[in-house]
Amino acid sequence: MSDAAVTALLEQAAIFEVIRTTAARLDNEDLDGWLALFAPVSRYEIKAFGPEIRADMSWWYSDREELEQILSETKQHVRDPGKRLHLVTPISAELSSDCATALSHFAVLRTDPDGNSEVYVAGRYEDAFVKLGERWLYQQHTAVLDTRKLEPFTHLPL
Amino acid sequence: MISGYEPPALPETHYLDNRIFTHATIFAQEQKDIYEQVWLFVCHESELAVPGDFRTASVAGKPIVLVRGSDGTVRAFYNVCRHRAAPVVREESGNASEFQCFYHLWTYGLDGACTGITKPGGYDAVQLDRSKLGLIPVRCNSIAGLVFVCLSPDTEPLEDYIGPIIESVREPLGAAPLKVFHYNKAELNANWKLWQDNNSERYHSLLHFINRKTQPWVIAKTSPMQLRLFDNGHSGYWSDSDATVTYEAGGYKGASVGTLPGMRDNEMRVINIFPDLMINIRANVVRLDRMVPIEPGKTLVEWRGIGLTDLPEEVEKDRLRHHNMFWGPAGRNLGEDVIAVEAQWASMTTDVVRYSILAREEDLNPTDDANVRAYYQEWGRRMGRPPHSPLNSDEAQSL
Repeated sequence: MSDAAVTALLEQAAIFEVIRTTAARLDNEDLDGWLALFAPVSRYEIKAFGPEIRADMSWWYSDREELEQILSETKQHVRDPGKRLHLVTPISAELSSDCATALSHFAVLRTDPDGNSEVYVAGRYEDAFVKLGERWLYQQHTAVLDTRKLEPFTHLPL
Repeated sequence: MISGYEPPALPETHYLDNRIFTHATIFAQEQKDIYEQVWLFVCHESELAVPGDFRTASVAGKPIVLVRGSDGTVRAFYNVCRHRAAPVVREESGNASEFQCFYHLWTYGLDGACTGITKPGGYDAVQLDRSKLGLIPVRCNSIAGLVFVCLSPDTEPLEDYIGPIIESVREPLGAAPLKVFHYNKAELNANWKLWQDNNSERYHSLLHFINRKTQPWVIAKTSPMQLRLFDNGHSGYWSDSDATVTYEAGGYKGASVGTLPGMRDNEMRVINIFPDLMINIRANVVRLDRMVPIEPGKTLVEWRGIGLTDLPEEVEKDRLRHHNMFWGPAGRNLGEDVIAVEAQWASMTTDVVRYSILAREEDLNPTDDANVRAYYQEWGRRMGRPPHSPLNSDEAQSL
């Protein structure tokens, strides 16, 4: 295997590690840690295609600055007390110099306070990364949902 | 000893028996005596923009399809094939030149006429007349871009049913082309009326951290906004002067980009149309809530965000971002309302506290309960049941 191929594999592994870390930090409600995975100029979005209106429905569309404000207020809100567990499978990563795109499949299990678990959402992460120093960070982190009914609603990123 | 079954010492108009939210008999009668009798909002006209555009919906438990015909008219039909009662249209929305039932392939025109019967020779012996086998029409009309249907042939025309409250939204809804830029839906584990209550009574704004930050009049003793009561149980609240939402105080940018015609920057208006349409307008967006009651404790709610078309891309993004942060399924406001009404309904099913108190009197300040009282007086009139004491003794036993 060539050095370039080895480097590409290592970079892909580093990106996949960011994706897995993202899930783990959300499961632990480490919101500061989650935000630290974003580049200074970056966006987060949740969207789903809506056959009812024959268009994409975008349900969360924030830049990093807004994310920081919103997440800092999370404790002030009345919100779903359920516990979440992300199941994430990184599928592919395409590298181009210091940028990359990646596709992952994911589902979130939700366990309510009585201990009942169910699938909360299913979908894909469609991400764009930028390498700053030695770290891959999100430029765009998008959760594209197959699920079209979020029940309950979410104050947390998915 | 205090009992939760003791009616409050209040005028009968000022409290409700909570069993109107939980009792199966009440729910079934509501479908018949309210939902089958009144005009019900289904969608926005922009969802049926060009001929052939269609939208399916459930109205009072009945499947409906709305379609814009070749002549530009929006019509509604029961979405049921005249042959063997299969659904004719199975998609939520789309564009079609005709409808074809998937089962035996009978076809219908956009005007509902039966245009084709497969293997028609099989009916020659009985001389089946397909001109009498069109889709069953449903009354359909629009006002300020809002498309309504009514299952009853006897109900007054839409304009009369809605009445003068429409003037408060006619300009922002009707003076410029609008589009649906946001949609989501969820099945709430709550009675449908609790969702309407939540939007009607402003007292609950105290629930919301974001409202406490951005709507100082929520906690103020008086507000420049005022309740307005109308016939048929419709109500609203808005200001004729300077009541605004101070989004900047909450750190939220871009609240007034693409402000709607007739609206002031950062202005808010709330209109509740009996029984289940909520129109919330903030400067640049109209939120429309539509409900489909499924069971006493299950309600499908659809939320639409509607705003001006043809805005610059960056302005559209700002509007979307701002709307999401309040009223999206990941928003800071709406999710708390859902949690509140679901918890409220679950508690009501225990029948520990039988009565709800609607006794705030504040000279039509938005936290006055006058509009909720008026809503339930209309409910009682249509149901033939006083909302403070709705069940006869047999029904009370069957809870």
